[in-house]
Amino acid sequence: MSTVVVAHNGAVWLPTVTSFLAEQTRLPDSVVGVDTGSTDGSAVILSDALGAARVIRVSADTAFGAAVQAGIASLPRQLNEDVIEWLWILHDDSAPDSACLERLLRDSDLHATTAVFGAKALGWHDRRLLLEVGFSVMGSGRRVTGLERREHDQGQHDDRSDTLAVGSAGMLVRRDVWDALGGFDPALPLFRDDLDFCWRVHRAGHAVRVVPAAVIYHREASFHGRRSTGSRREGGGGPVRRSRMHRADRRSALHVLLAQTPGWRLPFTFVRLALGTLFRSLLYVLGKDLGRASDELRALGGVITHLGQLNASRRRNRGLASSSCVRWLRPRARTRLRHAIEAVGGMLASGSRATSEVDEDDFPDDSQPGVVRRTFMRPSVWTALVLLVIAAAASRSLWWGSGSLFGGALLPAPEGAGDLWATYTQGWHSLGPGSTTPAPPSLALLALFSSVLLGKAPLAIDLIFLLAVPAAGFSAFLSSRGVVTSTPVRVWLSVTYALLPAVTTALGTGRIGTLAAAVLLPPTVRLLARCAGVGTTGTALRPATNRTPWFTAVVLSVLVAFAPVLWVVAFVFAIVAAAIGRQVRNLLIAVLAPLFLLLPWSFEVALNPSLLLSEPGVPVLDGLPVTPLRAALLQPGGPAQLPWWLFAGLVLAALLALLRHDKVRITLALWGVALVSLVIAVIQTRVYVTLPAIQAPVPTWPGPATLLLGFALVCAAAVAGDGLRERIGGATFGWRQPGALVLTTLAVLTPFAAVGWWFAQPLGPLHRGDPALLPAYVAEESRGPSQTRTLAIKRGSGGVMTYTVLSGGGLVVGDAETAPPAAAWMGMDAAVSALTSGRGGDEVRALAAQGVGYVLVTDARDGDPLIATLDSEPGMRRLSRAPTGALWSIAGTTSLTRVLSPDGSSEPVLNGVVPPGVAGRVLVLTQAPDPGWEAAVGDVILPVTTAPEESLMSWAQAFSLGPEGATVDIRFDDAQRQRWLWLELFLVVIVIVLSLPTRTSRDPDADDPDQDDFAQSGVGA
Amino acid sequence: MMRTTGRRRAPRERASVGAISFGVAAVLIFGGAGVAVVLGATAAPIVGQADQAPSGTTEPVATTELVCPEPGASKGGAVRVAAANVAGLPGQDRPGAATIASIANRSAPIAELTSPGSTATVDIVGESSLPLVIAGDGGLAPGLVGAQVGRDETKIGRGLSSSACVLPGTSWWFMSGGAEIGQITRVVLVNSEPAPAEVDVEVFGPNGLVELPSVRGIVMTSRSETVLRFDRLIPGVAAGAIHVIARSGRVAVSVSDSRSDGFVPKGVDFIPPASEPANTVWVPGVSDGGGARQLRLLSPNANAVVSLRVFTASGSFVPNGLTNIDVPQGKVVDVDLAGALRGDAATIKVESDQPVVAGLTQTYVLADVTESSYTAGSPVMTGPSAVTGLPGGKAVQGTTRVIVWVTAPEGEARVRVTLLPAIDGQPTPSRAGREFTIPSGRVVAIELKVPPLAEWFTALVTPLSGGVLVAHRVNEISPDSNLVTGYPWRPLRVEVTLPAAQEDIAVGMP
Repeated sequence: MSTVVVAHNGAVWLPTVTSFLAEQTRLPDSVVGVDTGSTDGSAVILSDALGAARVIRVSADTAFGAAVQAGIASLPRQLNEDVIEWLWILHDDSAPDSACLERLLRDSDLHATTAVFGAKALGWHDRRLLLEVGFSVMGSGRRVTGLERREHDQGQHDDRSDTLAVGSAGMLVRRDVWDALGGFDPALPLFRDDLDFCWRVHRAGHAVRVVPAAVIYHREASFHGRRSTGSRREGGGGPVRRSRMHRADRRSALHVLLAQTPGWRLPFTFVRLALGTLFRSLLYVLGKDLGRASDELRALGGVITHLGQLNASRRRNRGLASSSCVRWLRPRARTRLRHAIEAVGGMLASGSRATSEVDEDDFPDDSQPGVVRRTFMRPSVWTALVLLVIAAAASRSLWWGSGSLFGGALLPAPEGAGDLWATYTQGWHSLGPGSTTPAPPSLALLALFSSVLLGKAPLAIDLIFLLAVPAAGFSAFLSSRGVVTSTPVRVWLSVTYALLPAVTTALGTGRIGTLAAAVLLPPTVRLLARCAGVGTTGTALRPATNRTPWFTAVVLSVLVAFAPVLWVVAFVFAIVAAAIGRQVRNLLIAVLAPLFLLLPWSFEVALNPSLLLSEPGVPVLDGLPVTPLRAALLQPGGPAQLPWWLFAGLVLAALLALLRHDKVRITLALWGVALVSLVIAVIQTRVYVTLPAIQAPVPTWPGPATLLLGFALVCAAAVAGDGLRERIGGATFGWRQPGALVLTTLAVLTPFAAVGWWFAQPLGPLHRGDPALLPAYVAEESRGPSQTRTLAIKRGSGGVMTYTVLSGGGLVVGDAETAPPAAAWMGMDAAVSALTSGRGGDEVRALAAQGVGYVLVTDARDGDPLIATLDSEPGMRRLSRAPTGALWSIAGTTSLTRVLSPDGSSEPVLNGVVPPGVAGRVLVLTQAPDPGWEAAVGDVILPVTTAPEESLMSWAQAFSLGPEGATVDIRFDDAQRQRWLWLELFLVVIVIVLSLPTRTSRDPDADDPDQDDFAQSGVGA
Repeated sequence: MMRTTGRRRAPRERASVGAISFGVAAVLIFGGAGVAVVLGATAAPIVGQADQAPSGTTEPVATTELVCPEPGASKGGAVRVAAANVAGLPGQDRPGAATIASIANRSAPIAELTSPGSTATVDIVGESSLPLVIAGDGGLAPGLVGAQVGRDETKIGRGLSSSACVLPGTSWWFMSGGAEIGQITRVVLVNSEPAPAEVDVEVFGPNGLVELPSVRGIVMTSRSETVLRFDRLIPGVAAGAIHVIARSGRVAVSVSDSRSDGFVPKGVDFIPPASEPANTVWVPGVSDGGGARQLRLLSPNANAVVSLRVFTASGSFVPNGLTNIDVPQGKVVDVDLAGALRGDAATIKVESDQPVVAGLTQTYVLADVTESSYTAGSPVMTGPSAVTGLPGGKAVQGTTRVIVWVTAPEGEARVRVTLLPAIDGQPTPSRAGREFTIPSGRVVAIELKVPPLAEWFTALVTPLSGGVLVAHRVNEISPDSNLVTGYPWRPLRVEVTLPAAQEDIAVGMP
C-alpha cells in the first residue's frame, strides 16, 4: 500500500494535504512525493512532511501520469506476488478525510474484481459541497457527475457504487492493473486522464467503484485556474489563461472519445464530434464568447494535427475488450437530452441576471415560494387584468361567433403563418396589376408571432386585439419603474395610458400598428432615455451599457415597423440629445440601426417618405382629418367623435406638472417629446399623401403621434403627482392644496370617463364575420389555372367609383401594404369609369383582356342606378344579387395568361400549355410589366416584347412566341428581394447578438469564497 | 432673528424660481402648441403628388342595343319596325353602323342605317316573326330610337298598337292587363344575349301575389323568346300586374293586351313598362276625351297610403276623395279617375309613403267601337327624348292626329319639338323645330303636323330648360273606326356621364 502525492505550485494547499495524510486512521505503508518543478516552495513543504528522501523532483513539463509513474518507480518492487499491492494517488490540493484510506481499503477487500476505487469529492472551503461521486461522460465529451450545481451532500448519493470513472485525486488503484495498463495515457497531460484510465480498466475486465463513505476535499485548483500553472503540465511558466484550460480539456475529451471508440465507428464518431464542435462554436459566438468558440475549434484542430498521439493511444488499447462494455455506465438518453439543453442555454447566456439588458426589477423573482399568489398580488399584474376585463367587455362583440376579425384598417388574416411569410418574402404581389412594392417588416413580425402560435395567423390577430390594451398598461407600468415611485400613481399612469383615445380607437378601427406601438412605446422611451443618459440622476434609470443601444435599436425597429412615424420623433429626440452633449454614439446606434434592420423597407421609405406617415393596413378615412385642436387634446379621429374635454383634464394636469420645480427637468423633457409629437400630429392632419393601397391622396391617421403625445403627458402628470401629497401636505395651507386636489380629481376621473365613453360608443368598423367576399365558385376559379380576377366596385363619396381588382379569393393581411402604386391602375381607371357610365363601349372586352372574369358591386342597394347600368352593359351577365353584393360574369373565356395571334384573336393559356399556332404570336401575362418576369420553354428564355395596342391590355408582360406548341414556364425572379432579406436577416442576427447579454467567460466555481486561505475557513483548524 | 428670516426666505425663493421656470415653460409650451395648432388649422391641406382623379365627364355612348320583342304579334295585321337615328347629337362624328336583325341571326342584318339621321324599316305582314334587334355602335349609337307599330283592321285584334323598342334590363314592371273573359294579355320575354338568362315572373292580382311556380326560374337559352299569357296563368283575374326579374342575364320584355267581347274587338295595344317602385311616380299621357281612365297601383314591399294629384292644361288639383288611398302590400288596387278628370288630358302624380308602381289603362269609345291604350309611371327627363314610327304621308293626312303632351312637373320648362320625316332611309334635312314654353305644373298639348312626304316620321323633344314628362297619342279616325295608340317617352340614349374611378383597396374589404 503506497501513496503518491503529486505537487505543482500547490504551496497553498500542500500543508493541509500532508497533515490530513498524517491523520489517516489507516496509514499508508509508504508515501512518495513528486514535485514537478514547483516555483513556490512546494518541494520544501513536501520534503518537510515526508522527508527529503521520499521526494522526487521531476521537470516542470512532466505530465501528471508521468509524474505518478515516476513516483511509483521510486517505490520498492513488489515482493510477494500473491499480495495485492495498492497505489493511492493524491493531488497537492486534495485533502483526504481521516477515514478515507481505511474505508477505501475496506471496500477493496469486499470487491475482488474491482481494480480502481474512488472517493467522494467534497469542496475544499464548503465541505458540504458535492463535487463528484464518480462520473461518466457524454457522447460530446461533456463530463457528467449526475449532481446538481451547488448540490450539498446529505448522503443522497451514497448508494452509488459502480461507475464509469473516478477522479484521480484519491484514486486507489491495484498496482498490477496500473502496471499492466501502463498508467495514465501520456497523451493526456492534465485532463481526462482519469476517465481514460478508468475506461481502459473496464475494458481490461476490471470494475471501477466509487466509495461514498470515503471522503476527500478537493480544491480542483487546476480546473478552476487557481494554480499558477505552466507548460503542458501543472508546472512553471507563469499564469495560464483559463481559455487554455478549456481548450486543453476539450482536446483531451475529444482524444479520449476517439481513443476509446471501436475502429469501425471511428469515422462516424469523428464526424459527429466535429459537427458538435462546430455547433458549440456557433453557440459560443452567439453568446459572444469568441475565446471559447475558438478554443473549441482549436481543440478539434489539435486532435487532428496530433493523429500520432491518437494512434499511440489506440494502440495501447489493442487487445482490450470492446469499449461498449461500459455502455450501461454511460448517461441515459433522458439525461443526455437534459444536459444538451442545459449546455445550449449555458453557452448562450451566463444566466446571471446582472448582465441582462432588461431591468431585473421588472420581473418577479420566481425562485421564492407562492409564485402564483405573489404574481397575482403584483400591482402590474392586476392592473393588466383589470384592463383586460375592461377591453374584453368593451369589445365583446369581437369575441363571439365564428369567422375572423376584420374591418376598418384590418384585412382578414390568412389561414397560416406560411401565407404571411410568403407575402413577406416574395418579390411579386399579385393584387391588381401586381407590384414589386416590398412588404413592410410589420408583416414579418406578424408572421413571426403567428409562427410562435403554431402558424395560426387568425389567432395571432385575435390575441393582438384582445391583449393590446392590458399589455400596453402592463408595459407602461413596468417602464415607469424607478421614474415614478408611488404605486397608485403608476397604476393611474398605466391605466390612463392604456385607455388613451389612440388605443381604444385603434382597437375599434382595426389599426394593428397603433396597438402594437402602444405596447412597445413605453419600454422604447425608457431605453432611449437610458441611451441618452437622461434621468440617471433623479430617477432609478440605470446608465446605458455597451449593449443598451443595440437592444434599443432592436426594440425601436419593432416599434417603427408598426408605427413608422415614431422614428421621426426618436430621430429628433436623438438629435436634440446629441446636440446637448449626451451619449452621441449610443443615440446614433439606437436611432440609425433600425434603418438597417428594416432593410429593404427603409430604403423604400427613403424613396417614398410619405410611407413614414402610413401604418400597416387599409387606409381608413372615417373621421379624418381631425382638427389640430382635437389632435392636441389627444384625439386622433375615428368613427366616434369623443367630447373634446374628455382628456383636457390630463393635458391641464401635465401642464401644471411643470410647477413641481424639483422635477422640472424631466417634465420639460417630456413636454419636449410631447411638442414634437404634436407637431407631427398636426402635420398629419394637414398633409395628404398617396399610399399604395389607395389612389387618391388621403390624410393619414395621427394615432401613433397622439399616442406618444398622450404618453408624454401622462408621464409628466405622473412624475409631478409622485409624492405630491407628502410635498404639499407639509407646506402651509394655501392655494396649492385645493388646486392639487382639484387637479388630482380631474386626472383620476380621466380614465373613468374614458372607460365610460368607450362603453357608450359603438366599437367601430372592426367586427368578426365570414371573411369571404366572393362566392366560393368565384374564389375557386381565381385560384384555378385561369386565375380569373374579380373587379370589385363601390360607389364612393362625390360620385367617384372606387374599385379594386381581387385575385386569389380575396384580400388578406399584407395586401394593402404591397398594393401597386397609383400609376399602375391608370388603365383600369378608364375601364371602370366607362363600365359604370353605361357607355356600352369596349370596356367589357378591355376588362376581359386584363383577366377580369367577374364584376362585383359591393354594398349594392336597391335602386342604385349602378346596378341597372351594369345590367344593361352588353357582355355582362348578372349572376346573383345578394344584400352584400351583386355579381356579374364577363362573357368569354378570361385567363391571366393568353396567346395573341397576329390576326387579333386570342386564346387562354392554362397551366402553361401553349397549343401550336402561327408565327409572330405573343404570349401575354396580364401583370404589370417588370424586368423580373421570365418565360421559358425548357431552357430557352423567351424574348420580351410589348403587347399589341389593339389587345386593350394596359397590364401586359409580353413575350414573343414561335408557332410550335410548348409548355411555358412563367416565373418572377425575386432573387433581388431574397438577397435583401438575407442581408436583413444577417443584420438582425448581428444586432440581436450585440444586444444579448455577454456570456460570462468565468466558469462558476462553486467552491470559491474569494479567499484562498484554507486555514481560515476551517478544514485545517 | 436673522436666521429665522433666512429660513423663511429660502422656500419662497425656491417657489419664485419654480414660478419663473413654470412661467417660461408654460409660455413656451402654450406658445408652441398654440402656434402648431393655429398654423395647422389655418394651413390648407397639402395634397400629395398624385393628381386628382378627373371629376365626372360626359361622353357619347358607344353602343346602343334596342330589342323589339313582338313584331309579329298581331297575326292579321301589319307590323312595322321603324328605326331612326336622330342626327345632330354629340359623338356622331365617329364612324359607326346600325342594323336591324333577327335575334336568331344577328350577323345577317335585315336592314341597315348608314349615317347619323338615317332611318330603316322592316315591315312584317300577317305572320309571326322572331324579335328584332336594333343595334348601333360608334357614331350611330347616340340617338338611336326604334318602335314597333302594329295596325290591324280586320279581325278581333283590330286596333292600332305601338311600343318603343327597349334596352334589355333585369327588372320590368307592367301595370295593366288582366285575364277577364275576352282579354288576352301576352308577355313576351326576349333574351337577345349570347348567354342564357334565368327569369322569375311575379304576377300580382287584387288578392296579392299569385303563386305561380311554373313561371319561377324560367331558363331562357341564348337568343330566344318565351311567351306567357295571363289567361293561362291567372284565369278570371281582372286586374293584373307583372314583375319580370332577370336573376341572371338580362331580357327585354313586351306585354300586349287585346280585348274583345265575343267577336267584337274592344281594343288592342302594348302596355308600356312602368318605372321602378318609387315614392313619387309620374304617369303622363292620360288622354282627353271620354272613356275609362283606370289607374292601377301596386306597393310591392309594404302597405302604402297613396295620394293623387292631377296636372292638366289649366293647373293641378287633388281629386276629391282620392287622397289616402290604401294600397295593401302586394295587392293590385285600381282607381277610377274618369270622373275626376272630366275629359281633360292630364298627368297624374302618385305620392306614397312606400315605393309604389303605377300604370293606367284608358279606353276610347266612338259610337260602338272601343279602342284602348296604356300609359305608366315614367321618368322626368332633362335630356332629349324621341319616338319614331309615327304615321305620316298623304294617306293619313286629315284622318290621323298625333298629339304630344309635355308636362313640366317641377318648374317652368322650355322644349324644342322637332319632326324628322323618314324619306327613303336617307338623312332628313335638319329642321329647326318649334320651341314651346311649358308653365310650371301644367300640361301642354302639342299637335304634330303630319309630314306629307314621308311615310312615317320621328318626333324629338329636347328640353332647353327644366325637366319634362312627355307622352303621345296617335289617333286614327275613320268613319268606321277610331284607332288609338300612344305611350310615355323614355330618354334618348345619347350621352353618359363617366364617373371618376379610383382604386381603393377598402372596396375589397369583405
